[in-house]
Amino acid sequence: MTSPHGSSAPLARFAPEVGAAFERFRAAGDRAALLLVVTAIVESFVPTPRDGGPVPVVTPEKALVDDLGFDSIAIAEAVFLFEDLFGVSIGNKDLAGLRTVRDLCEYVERRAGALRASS
Amino acid sequence: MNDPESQARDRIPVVTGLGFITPIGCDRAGVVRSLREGRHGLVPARFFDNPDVPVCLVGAVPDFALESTHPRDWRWPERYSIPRETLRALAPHGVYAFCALVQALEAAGLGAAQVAGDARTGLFSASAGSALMLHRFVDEIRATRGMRAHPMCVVGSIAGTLNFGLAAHFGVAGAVCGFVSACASSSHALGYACDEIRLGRLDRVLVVGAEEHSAETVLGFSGMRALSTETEPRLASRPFDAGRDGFVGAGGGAALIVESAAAAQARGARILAAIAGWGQGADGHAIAVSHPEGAGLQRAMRAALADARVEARAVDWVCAHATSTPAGDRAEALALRAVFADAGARPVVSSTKGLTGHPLSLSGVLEAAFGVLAIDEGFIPGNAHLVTPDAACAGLDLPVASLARAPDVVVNNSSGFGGSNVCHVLRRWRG
Repeated sequence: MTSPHGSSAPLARFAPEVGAAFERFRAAGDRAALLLVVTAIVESFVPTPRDGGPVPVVTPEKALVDDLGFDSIAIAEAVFLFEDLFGVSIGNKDLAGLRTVRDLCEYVERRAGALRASS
Repeated sequence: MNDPESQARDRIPVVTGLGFITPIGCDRAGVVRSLREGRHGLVPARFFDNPDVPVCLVGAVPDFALESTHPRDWRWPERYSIPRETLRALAPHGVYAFCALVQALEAAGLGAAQVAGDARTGLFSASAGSALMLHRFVDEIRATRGMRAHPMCVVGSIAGTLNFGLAAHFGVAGAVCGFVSACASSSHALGYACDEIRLGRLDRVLVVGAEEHSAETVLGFSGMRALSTETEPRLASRPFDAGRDGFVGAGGGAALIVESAAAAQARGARILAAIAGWGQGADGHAIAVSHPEGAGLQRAMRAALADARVEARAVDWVCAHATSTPAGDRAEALALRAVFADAGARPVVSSTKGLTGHPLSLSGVLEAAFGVLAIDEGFIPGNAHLVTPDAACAGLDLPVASLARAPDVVVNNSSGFGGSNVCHVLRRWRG
């Protein structure tokens, strides 16, 4: 089950510093730590380019679909992990507005911040 | 060159590549050694770490660790490179199948670029889906009272999962289809692949079967009392033996590259064997147990021999379906006597499941591949673990050890729940 505070369990298969960054964000709303977490998650879902070219580097401005090559299932997978991790539910309407890595960070900050305030 | 006879010759389905990920070996050489020397792949099973589970053995695949429900935890031999976006939608048996298919394509001398996007190449596959993964995903839906469903819930678990990941990865553009007839499934996949080639609809079909040996897949058969409760491999899986008490579940993957003779010859491929014909027949009898005299299997064998224009006397080896269950082996033995002995024929009969265990819907394509090996390598596998043949086998030639004899014609049987029976006839290719 998801909890309003989220849980770092979904990061069990990531490098330890990602889990540590998640804890810093959860404890103090550390924005740089959030960017590190979101970047690591997005990186873990970036598809291998079909043309055999290099895997694109994830930066805040990159668009998931247009720049990083995400397909609809990769987006659903990433969103599923974000939902588990941050204890939020991301509906289709919200999802349509999340284009870049930065959009994701700002969305999570807004939603998770609201949850922290209300809990 | 367009007369019906030469067209039929051009469209003879031939096998140009084999791939094996099995309890008795994960490459051609290893499988041949096990089949020749009678080395089994049955290992102690520890389901749920519960010593009271009455099923003690499985046919497990060495060098693969796929027990977790999280693909990121899975391990497989390094030589196979599976990108994450392919892996994400695979069930554990999809990993076996992927590796077997890579092996078969390499053996056939086919590069990725020759397959991807080719409208004349198809993929026919068979598996029962993944009970393990389906259970994981459905648990999540139930635990959240419908609020959470994993994005891979459907594509990574249902019957058909095998097609989805492989078709996308290999860029299959001709035809993609899955077959579900329980333990006859991959035999149907191979049979219909041959038909597509003979009808001129496809030039090449990648035929793949795979299964898991997880508790979720295997133990359901325990409830039917179909599994052996023996602890010793030589006693647990002994097809046609009077003392047999059920089968040993097994996992793995196998792939066959089937091409039209013309397509194979045009690219200079080495032809391992031809598939001369196939047939099927149903029992019309029961949900699970075979017709007592194997009536459907008799029909399947007769149809396959007629399709292949092969006399019963010309058959050198019957690769039997016999799984080591009391009723199934008996029905097949009686069916073999009716089709062969009554026609004055006495082919060698053996079941390889004494070595592999019973890999369910994988068995048809796996054993067809064994038939191709027998023709290409010049030997006939024996009946491992057979000590005292069942009285129902009277008159059948059931060698225990493998024979150094090169078969020209091999018959491959499969039977599945619902009384579904399929038979292939393989023949040495003479150009």
